[in-house]
Amino acid sequence: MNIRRIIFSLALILLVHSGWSQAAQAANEASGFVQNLSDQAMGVLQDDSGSLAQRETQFRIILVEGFDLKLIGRFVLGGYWRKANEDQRENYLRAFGEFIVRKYSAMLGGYAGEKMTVVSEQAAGEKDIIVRTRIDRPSGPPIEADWRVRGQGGTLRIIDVMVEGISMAVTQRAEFRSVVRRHGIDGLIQILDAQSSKLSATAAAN
Amino acid sequence: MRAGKLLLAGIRATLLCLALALAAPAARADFESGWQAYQRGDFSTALDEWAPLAEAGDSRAMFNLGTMYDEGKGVARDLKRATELWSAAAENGYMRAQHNLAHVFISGDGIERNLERAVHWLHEAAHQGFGKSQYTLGKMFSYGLGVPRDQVRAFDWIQKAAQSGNVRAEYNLGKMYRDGMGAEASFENAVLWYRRAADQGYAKAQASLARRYAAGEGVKQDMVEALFWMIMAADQNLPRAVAGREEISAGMSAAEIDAAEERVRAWKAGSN
Repeated sequence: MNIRRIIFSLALILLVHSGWSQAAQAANEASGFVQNLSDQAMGVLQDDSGSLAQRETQFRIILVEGFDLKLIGRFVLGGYWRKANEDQRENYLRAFGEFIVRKYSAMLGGYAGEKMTVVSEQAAGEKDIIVRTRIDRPSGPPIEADWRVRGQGGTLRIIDVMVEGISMAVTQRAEFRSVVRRHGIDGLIQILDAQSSKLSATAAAN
Repeated sequence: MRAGKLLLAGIRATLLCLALALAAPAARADFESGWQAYQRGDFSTALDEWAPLAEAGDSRAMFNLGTMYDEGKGVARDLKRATELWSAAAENGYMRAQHNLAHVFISGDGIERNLERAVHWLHEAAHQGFGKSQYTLGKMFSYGLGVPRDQVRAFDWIQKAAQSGNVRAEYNLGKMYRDGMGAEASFENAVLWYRRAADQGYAKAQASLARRYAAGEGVKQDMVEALFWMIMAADQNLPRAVAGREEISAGMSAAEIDAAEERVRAWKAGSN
């Protein structure tokens, strides 16, 4: 099972689903934040008046604003972050951000009627709030997903997703570690870039 | 008897030609209506239009269908199917399919990573003159991915890509000239390629060009020009340019800083 793909799907569902429970709607800032993100994303998905490129750009902005990609990026590079030079850090963060954004926005149109409900919220450490959700799917048993939300400088951002207790950031870090061991940091950057260097549909003859 | 057969064959050939003549515009129309549907975000119509074309071996339709499976547009994401479609189109010589197939082998997303196969397909597209593939191929040589590290070859491919107007390649070529990687070091050439990318708005090239102006390397020293380019890059939130802007302007007079900022305003107003 490709856990990463499932996590990405769940992230999409989080963003597109606006059917929150009454209790969660009355709750704190974190759910308001997630609600707002979700409303925005839903708006983009439902509004088919713009071109696909425009919708992808809007979706991209919502993602970049909703997730702290720099923080996640640094975390998943683990100890190699300290070893990387300035150029590599810059390239890596750009490539990582693009890698994540590309994965999510590629799912425009892939929503299959899943429904998410906020189950509970709890503080995690001093900075974070974990929003626990349940995702009901037409195609299988429900899944539990926890969203780790951090407030910094008055802004809330998602910094991790845990599916059935497995952290996306930790899983990603293990994957990156094995790539860096084999191919170095520059190799990892190249591999991340590959995902977003693919070309999309075209009318070109060659 | 023989004449009758010939006549029949003639009629058949004529009918075939007619059929082909009629079918060709029809095929184009199918592709075109698929493309219009795709751009509207109506992926199921696009799929319906392109699937029969792909089935008939149309490379472009196979490629596009592949991207839809890859991106999960109108279908459930299926990287295996995408890879099959791109493989078929790549075998037909369709550059974009060769390019994407190579990148699937690099990213290892949905397929086992195979950098040697990636290099093979990059070569195919690069030899056809596809700039994006030339650039990636250059990087593969530069980092020794799927091939032994070879800076001279890296330089050659990145140069080709830069010559075809690929902005990242232009910047990287500038860097290779600066560092003497794969070619003799030359600040003059570095400045030339940085400038091409900088003119197209590429932030890293703008910051590097600013550094050359500040140091008078490969170009006559000019602090106003240095600050101008550094601001252009800093305005795109490039961290090293944000720091560089402070650093460069620290040693400049108010009049010089004004001149640089005026340059930025003029550029952005379109009167560069």
